[in-house]
Amino acid sequence: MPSFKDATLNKDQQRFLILAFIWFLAWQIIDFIAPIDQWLTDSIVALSRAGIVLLFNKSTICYRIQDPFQGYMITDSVASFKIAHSCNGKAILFLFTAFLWAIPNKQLSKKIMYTLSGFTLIFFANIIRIITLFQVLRNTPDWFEFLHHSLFQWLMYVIILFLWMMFLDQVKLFGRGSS
Amino acid sequence: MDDVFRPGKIIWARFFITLLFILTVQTIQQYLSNVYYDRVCNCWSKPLDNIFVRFAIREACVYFNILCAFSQLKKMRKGEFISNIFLYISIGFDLLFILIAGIRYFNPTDYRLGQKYLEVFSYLNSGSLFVFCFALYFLTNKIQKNN
Repeated sequence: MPSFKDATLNKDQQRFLILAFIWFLAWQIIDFIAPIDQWLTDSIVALSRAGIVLLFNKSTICYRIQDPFQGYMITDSVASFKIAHSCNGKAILFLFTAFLWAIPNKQLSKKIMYTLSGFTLIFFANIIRIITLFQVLRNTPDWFEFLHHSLFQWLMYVIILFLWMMFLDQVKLFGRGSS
Repeated sequence: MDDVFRPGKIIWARFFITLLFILTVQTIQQYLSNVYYDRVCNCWSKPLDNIFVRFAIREACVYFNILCAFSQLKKMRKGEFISNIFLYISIGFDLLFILIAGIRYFNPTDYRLGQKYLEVFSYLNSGSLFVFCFALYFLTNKIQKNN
């Protein structure tokens, strides 16, 4: 097992890790009490279907897979596509906010602003991902697995990393610091 | 292998390639699940019909990813600190994963337990912890500048 002997944590680093853990735990408790999964999945399914109609002019039928609940099946004449709770991006949102809120010495208003904008960005990026995956499944199904589990996830992480770095003033947008 | 970070310069390619590598392992694991899972009868076919074989494959993927990410994080400046953090968080999540898997073994119909099982697995298998720890580098820099 490695040791922290050569890499001691200073107070801020210790505080960050403890706070990140507390935020993550708080999220898990909220998740247990409130139906976050249900709300997120329902919204993503509804908006993705609307997006498919808007962008590709394709109407879809949506089935709820019950007993036990396993998600929604979106289907048209060509392809069927299952959207489960695991597709709603909740895990990424948890991790994103845990990191953000654990960072010391940052203004509360900035944290709230980044949390809200990050949530919105990740939420809509996920909808675009689902719409694109549906279209890929209809046209080039061989690429589906690679895009689903590799490329799009990779892109989601790039978005999150970018937001974190902006929050830490490591990248500048439109020539201005983000502070 | 080159360092993930050269003095004063980040080699982003190394980060992205590592992440893509982790996600490729995840894709292979998912592909195996798709091939051996019969959606008509909702059952697994051989050799993945045994719950322990499936669990062993998941654990193998997890530790393969952990080793890969750990070795890359270790090459960073301040890598000792960040790679250790990554390793401890990963092992903590894996213990949680094993615990949930154990409870789930005796209570397989509990849907929420199943969801948590998948959630914890996704933290371990999807590279999100690697991204989290990679971002720690910038935070550590920031804290040191402030101090």
